[in-house]
Amino acid sequence: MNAIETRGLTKHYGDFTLDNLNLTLPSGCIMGLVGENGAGKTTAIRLLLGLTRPDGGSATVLGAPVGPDMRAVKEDLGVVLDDVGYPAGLTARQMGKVLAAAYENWDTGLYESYLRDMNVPTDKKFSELSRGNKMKLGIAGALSHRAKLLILDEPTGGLDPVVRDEVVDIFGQFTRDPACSILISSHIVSDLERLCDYIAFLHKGKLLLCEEKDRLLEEYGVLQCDRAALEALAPGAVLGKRLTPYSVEALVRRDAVPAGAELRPVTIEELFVLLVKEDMR
Amino acid sequence: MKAILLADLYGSRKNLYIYIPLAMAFMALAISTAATVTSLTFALCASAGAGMLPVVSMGSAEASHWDRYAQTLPGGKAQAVNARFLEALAVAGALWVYGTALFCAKAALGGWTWAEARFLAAFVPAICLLSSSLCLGAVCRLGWARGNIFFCVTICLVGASGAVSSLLGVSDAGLGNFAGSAAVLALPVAAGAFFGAVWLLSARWYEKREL
Repeated sequence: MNAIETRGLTKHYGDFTLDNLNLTLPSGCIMGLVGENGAGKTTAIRLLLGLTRPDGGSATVLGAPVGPDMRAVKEDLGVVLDDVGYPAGLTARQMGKVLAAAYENWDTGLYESYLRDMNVPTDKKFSELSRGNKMKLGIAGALSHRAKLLILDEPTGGLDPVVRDEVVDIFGQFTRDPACSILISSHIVSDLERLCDYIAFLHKGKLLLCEEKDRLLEEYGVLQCDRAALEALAPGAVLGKRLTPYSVEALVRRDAVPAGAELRPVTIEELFVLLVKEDMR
Repeated sequence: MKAILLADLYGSRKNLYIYIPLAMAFMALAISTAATVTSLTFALCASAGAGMLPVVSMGSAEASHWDRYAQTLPGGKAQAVNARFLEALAVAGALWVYGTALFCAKAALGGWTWAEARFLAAFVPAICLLSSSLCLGAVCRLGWARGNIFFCVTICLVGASGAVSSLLGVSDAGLGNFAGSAAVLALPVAAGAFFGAVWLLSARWYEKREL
């Protein structure tokens, strides 16, 4: 069973359209949703959570169609929204009691251990916590009811590198269970590169590509050459390029460049930046 | 829904410290001056003030985006609406119980009539239900940012009602007659029906809203 499946999901907002989104996240995998500000990541997540009605297409989450009544599915969903969204006047301890009342499988011991491990103050009001602590509290809340799918909107934003590293480890441990999956959106592509099995690139509401990360890294490379060599390449081989005063760095398909050409491995961040720049040309 | 009720209870503690003593003080004043124009004004203040508690909870939830997060918890979208209307019922009930207790205390000391008791017993929950349902309906339909005008208008209406009733020359005797009539009992029935209708509509409106 796929944890998430969308078919032609579309949403219009004034001058923005999330257009024909087709994603498939198999169970037990982590998918990273990458995109610049306003690319449609949050809209996609809100559609998957049923917070927003689509204008077209359909989606299933843990096998159930997304709609106004996702009662059974929500028991198995752990969610962190970009602004977390806990009540301003509640402390972490009180929030634990609120979430315990919401979820049948809530594990208070696990919640408290996450708070302890991540050094979240338990008696401070949510509104008084730093952005990083708010996010850590949100992550503890999402992980403490033994969810099968985590949907995370920018969960590492505002965290310092040490905590980010710990959080990424926690997400990694979560998916050791083959029934558990994660959809995570982030600007911090290095975290996604470390964590994800699948990468989906969104740009201006369109899905540029969605593939297995290892396959992407195998399929594409960076060729450093001069302009003449670049122009000699087969049409369609170059997906993006960066011009420097002395040479050209081009994102190329490995199978489309002549044998012997020296390619260096591409990072997910480079892949994204070069694809987006090419699209903007 | 239990989670939303609990969050509202924790979150509105500060408001409870303000609204409950105020409502209790106004009720005590209303009962001590039973069935006069002043009594009417005090009872209005107590009822409408207490009725605003769930409205304020809903507004705070929207401001902190808790309304959005709450939709990701198990349970349908209507649970946020149901929780706030239940809170309004609880507040109206609590105010009624408090009013009744004060009447009993006053009865023990003597100096009250059945008409006065009936008037306040009917009037207090009716105004509480009317004011809270009006504001909750507006917030469910329009959101707090636009719906809070109803909150402000209700509060202003309550404040102005005393002055208006005095200006219109509502006499103690006239109010006493109304209090004595059986028609006063229709007040909570009408308010209950209005409250129920707005509850149903609010659930529908809230379902359609994108949070």
